[in-house]
Amino acid sequence: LRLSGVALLSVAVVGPALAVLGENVASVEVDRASMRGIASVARTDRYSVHEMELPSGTKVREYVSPAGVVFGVAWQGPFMPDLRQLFGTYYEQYSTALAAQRPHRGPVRIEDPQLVVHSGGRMRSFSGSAFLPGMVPQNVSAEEVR
Amino acid sequence: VIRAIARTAAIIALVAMLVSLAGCGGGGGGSSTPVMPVQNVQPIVVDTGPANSLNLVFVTLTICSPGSTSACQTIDHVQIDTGSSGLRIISSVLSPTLSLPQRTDNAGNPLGECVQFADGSSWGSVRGADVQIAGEKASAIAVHVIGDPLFAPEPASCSSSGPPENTVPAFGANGLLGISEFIQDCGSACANNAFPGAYYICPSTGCVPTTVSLASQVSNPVAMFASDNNGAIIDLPSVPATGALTVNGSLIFGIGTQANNGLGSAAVFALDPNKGTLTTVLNGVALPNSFFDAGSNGIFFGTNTYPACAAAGVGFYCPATAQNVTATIRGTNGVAANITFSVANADQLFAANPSFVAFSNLTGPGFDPTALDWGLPVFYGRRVYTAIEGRSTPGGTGPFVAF
Repeated sequence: LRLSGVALLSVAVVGPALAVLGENVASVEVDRASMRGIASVARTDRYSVHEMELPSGTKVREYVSPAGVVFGVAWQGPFMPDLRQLFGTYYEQYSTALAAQRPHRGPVRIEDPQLVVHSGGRMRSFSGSAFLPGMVPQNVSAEEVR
Repeated sequence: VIRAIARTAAIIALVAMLVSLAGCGGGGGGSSTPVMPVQNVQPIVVDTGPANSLNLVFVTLTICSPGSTSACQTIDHVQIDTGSSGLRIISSVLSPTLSLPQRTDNAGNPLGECVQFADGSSWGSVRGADVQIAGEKASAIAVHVIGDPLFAPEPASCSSSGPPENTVPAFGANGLLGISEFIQDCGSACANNAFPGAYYICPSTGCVPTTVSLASQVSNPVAMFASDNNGAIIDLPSVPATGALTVNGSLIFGIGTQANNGLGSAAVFALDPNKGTLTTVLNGVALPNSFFDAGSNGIFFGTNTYPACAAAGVGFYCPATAQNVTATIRGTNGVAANITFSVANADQLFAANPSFVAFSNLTGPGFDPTALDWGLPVFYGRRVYTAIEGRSTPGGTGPFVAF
């Protein structure tokens, strides 16, 4: 159960790969199809990381627990990803929490009990991550979602 | 009161400009008129702005209908940003009589734009304007009119990167003067591909992403000036450890083009030509996605050393007592330098002087374990040069930052 386990397996796959925050991995194809991403999967004994590169060049990684639940997402690249798609039902909570912090001119930092979002960057170089504290597997550190 | 200070500074600069012009004209006699350098200095101010902001630096500029000398409007409290390129104005501050022509694609479809920020999105039309700052002028450039009621409503594919910021209170300024090292806001990516979150056309069936050539994209006004167009300098004085009510400084156009904008002993840190990033080394860890951004209101980086604030300083760090941190920045050209900054307790800073809005020691948690966001605090007490991509300067060709 060490971080080095992340490098255990990395294979390109065809077909279902990505899902929506808090939802089951079975819903995966929706995300990949709607964002037209190219996907690959890396598995550890504690979770799997589904990564896709969007046409814009931005990379999105989704962290799926052994129970099949997406507990975290992370992104990095020249454009922001479609957060409404990635966050699913949590997008409204994100928007509401963000609105309460305005006007804002620094990185986004939402730390609600159910939802944590860190997001920042500048034009042509954005990055961020989000996770659901209640759904992160017990033997996984939230900082691994990056 | 604070806005009056900004206006006073502008008036002082105007008088100074007129005096200097008068000086040039005098003594000419019958000889040929000497070529006068363009007045390349504009006052800038850190104050509360139109939306109670903190550590944001503003400028006053004039926009005109292209080619007109009378259909013009002076707009104050346009935020200066080195983390983006292009002039964006919130439509509500524009006079209804100021007619800025709608830009179109080759087929004649009106162009719209979505601009993404980390915390939201702004949507509006792309229009043509002359932009004047100090004695500099960018003629008939594309600008972004945010929240334009004459354009289609914001499509979901724009707001899905973050909630809309299409009003002055939501945006935090009357506009944004993006003077990063990039010439265009999007660049070749949008010339070659139609992405959500950039340029759009909006037929009756709904708005869809479209490609836009480099020449038609919303562009850094400095890069489009007739002179002094290779970069700009943000020159702000130091701020006391307790902060300041307001800070006055200068925005100087050009690098090494006039007597007042030479590099002097400044070190040149080359930037990644695609991302505008450089490396910061903090506590022995290299953070390759770091960047200078006058549009960020603090220095943001990840650490477990300092607790986050609990009161008014939420979003910033709150150590029990102020701590000095030294980090090393390293350009892609290998040039490195140390920067020492102070991590103060933001709750205490704000409580001690509730009316203050300028702080050199405001820092906070980051968003990416590979990045340090060098925001406005690092600009205080420095002359920070931003050189534009592909443009030559005495310190080499941009993109680079120097100080």
